[in-house]
Amino acid sequence: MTAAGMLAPEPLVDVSILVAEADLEPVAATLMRERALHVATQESEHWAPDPKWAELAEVYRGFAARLRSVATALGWQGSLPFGAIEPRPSRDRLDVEGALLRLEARVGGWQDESAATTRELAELTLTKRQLELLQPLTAPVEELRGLRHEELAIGTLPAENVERVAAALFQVTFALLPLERRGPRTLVAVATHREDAPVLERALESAFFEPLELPREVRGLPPEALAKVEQDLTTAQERAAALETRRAALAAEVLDDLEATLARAQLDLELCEALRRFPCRDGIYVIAGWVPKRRTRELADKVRAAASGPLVVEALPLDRRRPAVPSLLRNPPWLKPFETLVTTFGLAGYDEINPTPIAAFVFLFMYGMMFGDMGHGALLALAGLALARRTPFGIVVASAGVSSTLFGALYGVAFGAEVMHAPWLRPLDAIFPLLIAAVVAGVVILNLGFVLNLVSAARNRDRMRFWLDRSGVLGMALYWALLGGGLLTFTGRLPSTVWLIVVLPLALAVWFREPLEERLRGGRPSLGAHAVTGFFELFEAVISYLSNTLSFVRLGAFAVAHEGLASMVLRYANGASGVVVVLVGTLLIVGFEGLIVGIQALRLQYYEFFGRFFQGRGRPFQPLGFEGGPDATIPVRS
Amino acid sequence: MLAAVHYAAAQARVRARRSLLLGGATWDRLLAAPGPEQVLTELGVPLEATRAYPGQSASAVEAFERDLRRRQYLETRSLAKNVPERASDLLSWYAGRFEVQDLKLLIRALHHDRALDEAWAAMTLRPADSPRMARFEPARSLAEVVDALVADPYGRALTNAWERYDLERRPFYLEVALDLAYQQGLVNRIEALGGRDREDAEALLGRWLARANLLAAVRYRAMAGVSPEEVVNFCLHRDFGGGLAMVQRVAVGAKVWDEAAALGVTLSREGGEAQALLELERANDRLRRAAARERWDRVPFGLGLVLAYLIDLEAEASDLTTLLEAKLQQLTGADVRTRLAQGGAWGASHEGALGAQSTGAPGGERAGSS
Repeated sequence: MTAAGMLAPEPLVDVSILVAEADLEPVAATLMRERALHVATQESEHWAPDPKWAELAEVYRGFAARLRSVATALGWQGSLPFGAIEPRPSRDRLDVEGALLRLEARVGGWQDESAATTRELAELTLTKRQLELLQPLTAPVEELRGLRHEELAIGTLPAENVERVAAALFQVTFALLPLERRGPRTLVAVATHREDAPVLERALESAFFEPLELPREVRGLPPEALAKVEQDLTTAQERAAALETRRAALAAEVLDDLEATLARAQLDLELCEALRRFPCRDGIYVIAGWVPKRRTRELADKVRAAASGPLVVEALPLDRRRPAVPSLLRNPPWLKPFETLVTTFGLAGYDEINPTPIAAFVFLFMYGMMFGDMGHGALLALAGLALARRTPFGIVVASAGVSSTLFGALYGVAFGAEVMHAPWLRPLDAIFPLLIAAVVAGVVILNLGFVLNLVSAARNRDRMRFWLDRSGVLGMALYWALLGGGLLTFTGRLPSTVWLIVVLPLALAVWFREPLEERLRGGRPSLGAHAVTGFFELFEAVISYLSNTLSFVRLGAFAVAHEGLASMVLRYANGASGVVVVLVGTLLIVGFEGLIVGIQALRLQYYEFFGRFFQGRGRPFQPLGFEGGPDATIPVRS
Repeated sequence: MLAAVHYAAAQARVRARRSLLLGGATWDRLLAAPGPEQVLTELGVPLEATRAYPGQSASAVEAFERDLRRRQYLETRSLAKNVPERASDLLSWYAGRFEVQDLKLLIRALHHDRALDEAWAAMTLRPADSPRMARFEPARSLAEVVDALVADPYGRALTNAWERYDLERRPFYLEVALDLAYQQGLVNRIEALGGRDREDAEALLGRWLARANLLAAVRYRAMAGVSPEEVVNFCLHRDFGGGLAMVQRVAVGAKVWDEAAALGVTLSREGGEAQALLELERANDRLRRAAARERWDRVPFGLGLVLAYLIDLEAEASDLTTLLEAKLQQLTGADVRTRLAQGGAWGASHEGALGAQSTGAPGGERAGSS
């Protein structure tokens, strides 16, 4: 891929496929396997999706849910054998339903019995717990149901609502006894006077209280009732153990059938979900969207091969200014780690330049200049390489280390000490030239931003942005008139009147940029309305050109500060504690100062550089596909 | 030092992103636009680009407003990846307010047997935007929604309220449970923070939550006519403001202006409680924006700056929504300007103007005065 190629998102084409209903399913399945089409939503008066696919999706959703219920009941775990399945929702329905009914018939009896036993066990356990609490009572259980002066409620509350109920009963006298935690709920007993019963009821209901009442058949003194319940519980537990043995046998018997049917139902469901989005008319469907240009021919061939009848594949170059177009970056693998530097700010839109390659270079340049030191740079590079095992961002750190090492070589410095004659300059000895160099670097970077904005505007045929934008030709001209002309005038090489003659018309053009734009668009602008806002825009533009340029002074200032800090560490590294001072100092410099320099580089990049040409409001390219993988069909059972 | 490490990328990003918020000149053009379509065109949003979901029949304006909310959600989730764990947890939860709203839309649609496609078209988020949305997308009944969210805090809230809903067939209980779970989750996450992050979160989210809690308590009592016990159960007990005592007082009849005064908001009594509630609602947003503006002048490395940016983003979205709605009503730019949250001053480059207009002094605020 060429460097210029990297600067633009992957070129997409607008693809429309006209396919007859008979071939719709294999064609759509092929598209989903290839994962190359980002579907565009489009509806018109005469073309609308056929509701039958939505209905069929519901049918398969129901099948899949029922199959999952069987699988869950049997304790199934694992991935589905999607490998060889060719989904055809319209054809598969009877097969899947038949297999489902077979499985349910085979497993259903056991499932019902198992559910009933589980329910019975839960109820008996609860009753047992309640009776245990009532053991101290000497009255029969049935008499508790007829209290005359008190209102007593036993039941469960969401655990977090126990205190809330107490707070809600702030107007009445009450007793609230949390008995035990049952998962997310707490078993409580609450009592109040009979006349406050409505208050208690409202407080409990609004805290989502679920009452528990002892079954009517539980009677007699609590110890007798408890013995009876414990006996029933033992019987139910024995039944549950026998059911578990049957479950293992059943699972072994039906597992292959269950997995294959569930996999088919799942793929059919996903295909139906795709088909319900495609508009149709008179049995012809339109599948429209965006496809990477390089894959268009291959995709068209595969789609044609999948169809048994005639099919139209139309690929048109697209208008890059359409905002709905998704964006697919095509950075080479070595550049991928640097995408974070851009995506943290935003994803490049399809009509924008992909700034990743330039952003990577600019970031590393700025970082190296600010943190130039062969020793610290090498340490940072090693740390980055170690980090790269865990995160791709380690590559960015390592590259920043390499850049710092290279600048360190230009400064002739390692760990703050002069180790060789500086081929360029030594920051502490040449502060002013370094600051000038930093501003010059800033001017170059800002102008790179201007140029990228012009390129972007030209690609989009946006004439207004190209000529009149604050980062367009007009803005660039004003910038150079102010900076270059100002320097020449300051050094006496240009008379100030000539400078003013150049600057004033440009300033006026920026001032009245908006009415000018409106006029060029054919409107009738009111100069008065724009005069005030335009003046402030001009003022802001001039200030921002100046402040943006001077911002880059920090490239030099940080380089000086870095060397100063490092040499101070060396100066204090005397005596027995010298090694400790060097170690701690180096750690602080590489860790803390290295981070601050990174932040400054990012700040310059986002504010001063990106601000000229980049918005970062792209939509990611999300191709139509089966869940889980680019191949026909997803994970295969291990 | 550690804060600088943790918030380095986030602060660089929010400062840069803030500079992309709409500036004063753009707002002047938007206000001058004759109708909503022209506003969208001015913003560079072609009308067809706003049709984002199959089957939707919403207007371009509705779709754009939804996109504004979606942008806030995605931006918040994205920023959550660039901050330390607890702050990230808070931001993710804060973004969840859009999921809660969408879930409530779905609950209402399922309860009233309305077409699900229409409900989804009205929602802010798409299944691809959030794992939670993806989980309840296949649900075709309320029971399936609850099942789909079984391991989720919202699922737990719905499970708690389910029996009550099942008994009375009123989705109100499910919605109250969701709102309370969301608010309580936010309180817990603010309390889990430490140091300056906690101070900032309390100032920007906690006090906003306290005023919202007062609003909710008064609405339950005065508008919905629920009993004092229910008011207490439906509101937050810990809220960085009046808390349980305030809720109990409101539940038995305390007036909103008396309780608001304790939270630093002076409300007019002239229009009765209904008018005072409107004033409190406006003051709540305005005070939060004022608190956000203060954050931009403080130490940059911390959660405060991230939250301040998100509040600015929300204010911009809110103003755009107000503007579009006003344009639909054919109001003029001058009429609209007074209704905008920013009061006619916008953008990062207008901080001076914003600062001058701030009425969010800690000592008090005259609601509805600007």
